[in-house]
Amino acid sequence: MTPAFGLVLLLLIALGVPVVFALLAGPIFGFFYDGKEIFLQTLPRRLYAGMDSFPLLAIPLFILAGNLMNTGGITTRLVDFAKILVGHLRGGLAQVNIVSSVLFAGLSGSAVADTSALGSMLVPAMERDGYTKKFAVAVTAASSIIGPIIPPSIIMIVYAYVMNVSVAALFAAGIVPGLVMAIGLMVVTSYLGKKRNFPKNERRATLKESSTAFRDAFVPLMTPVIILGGIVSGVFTPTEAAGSAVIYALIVGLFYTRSLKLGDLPHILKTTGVTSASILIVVGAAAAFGYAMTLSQLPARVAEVLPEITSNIILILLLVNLLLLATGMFLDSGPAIIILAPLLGPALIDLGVDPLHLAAIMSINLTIGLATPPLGLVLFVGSSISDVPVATIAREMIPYYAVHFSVILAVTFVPALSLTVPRLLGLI
Amino acid sequence: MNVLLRCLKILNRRIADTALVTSGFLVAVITIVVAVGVFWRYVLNDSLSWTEEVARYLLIWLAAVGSMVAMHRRHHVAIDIIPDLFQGLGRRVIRVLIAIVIILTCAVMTYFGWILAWNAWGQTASSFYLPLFFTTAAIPVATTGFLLMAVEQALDELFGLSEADGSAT
Repeated sequence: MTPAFGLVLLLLIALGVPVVFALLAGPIFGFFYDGKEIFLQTLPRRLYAGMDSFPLLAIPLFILAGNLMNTGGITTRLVDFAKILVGHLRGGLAQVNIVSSVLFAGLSGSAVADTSALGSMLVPAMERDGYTKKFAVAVTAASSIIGPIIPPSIIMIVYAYVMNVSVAALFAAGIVPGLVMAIGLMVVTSYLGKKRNFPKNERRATLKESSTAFRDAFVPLMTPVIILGGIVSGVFTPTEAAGSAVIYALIVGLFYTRSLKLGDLPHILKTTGVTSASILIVVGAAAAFGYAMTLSQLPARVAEVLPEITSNIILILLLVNLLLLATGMFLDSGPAIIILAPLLGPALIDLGVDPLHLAAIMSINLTIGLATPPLGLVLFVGSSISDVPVATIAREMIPYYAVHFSVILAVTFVPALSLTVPRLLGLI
Repeated sequence: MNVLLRCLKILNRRIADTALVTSGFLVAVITIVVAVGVFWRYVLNDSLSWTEEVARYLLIWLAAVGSMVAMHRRHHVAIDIIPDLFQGLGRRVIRVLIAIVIILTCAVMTYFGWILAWNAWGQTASSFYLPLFFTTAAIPVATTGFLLMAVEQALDELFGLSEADGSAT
């Protein structure tokens, strides 16, 4: 099959054709071009088979769990808990924002959910405290990237599905890089805090306030324990863990925090349905595209050409990271991983890169693309909740991008960062 | 032409509204089915054979109906840089081109999708009796929906209705 169908895909995406249709149009063009119309009938079958998967069920379930916890008042409790941990530092609310993102990351798998949930609560609070609005949004966006790196993570489920890696192992691989990123963001924030003289809350929380906040946050914080503990110990499949998280969030929201009303459910269910369907249909279309890619032997050619450019694995990984960053700037992380992983994965694994390490590099790198201009979903959401233009947010984020990029480099060149936890847990 | 476009708009809105309600319903049922599976397996120590299969088939339908809503709202992931570079006529031309690509793609997918579904009459689900026509049909149903909506979007651009009364969606 002519490799030109890949070019057609890129052209159509650049023109503005939605990714899901470009993924199907590319192979259709290729089959017509080669006069192999007989293969056209395989495309709907591949689209169907690409979505016919039990692991993929974790996607709507994790999204639903996140939406339920958000409405169920759990976000507020997490933020209160983060306040007693770091609220007394200089730049307190900025630090609270980052720590809340870490806590939230253990509940939800999406950076966009993190930005909209924490942003709509913390940006106004930070403004009242004397921060500029653009900085408040920048911290929110920069730290929301932690969401899909610390498990659970939608993007990691997609990667694991496309490349046939263990979801549990990939989840475990994200824990340390996510925490490292949080620490990096906090260090930069405290530096900025000194330089720009951020507000400082002189009074530390009393013991009584602390214990109240801890008690309130304890039940919601059990969610990541259920999810991670269940998956990593091998008791639950990711889908079962996600299903249990939904039931847990439902019970907590309805009966414990009581912020969730039965009347909210139809709206939450519909939003969840549409959000997850738009991801799933792209995964399905990618399966059709992947089939055409196999026929064209494009990945095999990449595997031949790549070592000819340079045999230096460090250089190759750097190049791959640049390519991923460039892709992430223009494409949402899900579709990007779906197109690039099957294309680059086999070649790099041939060259001796550990499949799980590669999975961590790709997932984290493309996640950061969510916060980079010109097209970053997190920036758009941040802009829409605050009315600060995307370009202004991005400029304000420059010190934080430095942290993001350092984390990518660290994950790339220190495999132990991502591989130690899965190894200790016996997942690889 | 205007009458036709108006009818198409009403039809598509009906489809999208129905699809939205259906997708919420499907999410609820999927949750229940997965939870029932977990409960039977871990609490009652007796794995049910049908839960996994049912949940997978519902997932395919969820993807089909939910993405029709996304299509109607023009929410599918796309890069808008090039269309946004242009204004007026230029942008309209690009948007019509995009719609044409979608229409052609979906026409092919719909045609072969119905053949796929038709051929699946003879196959049944493995843990209960259900001809797989009813699961595979999700694909051509979705692409038919996309097709109708893309036609609406193309006509909108061509006849300039998008600013007048298409903006509500």
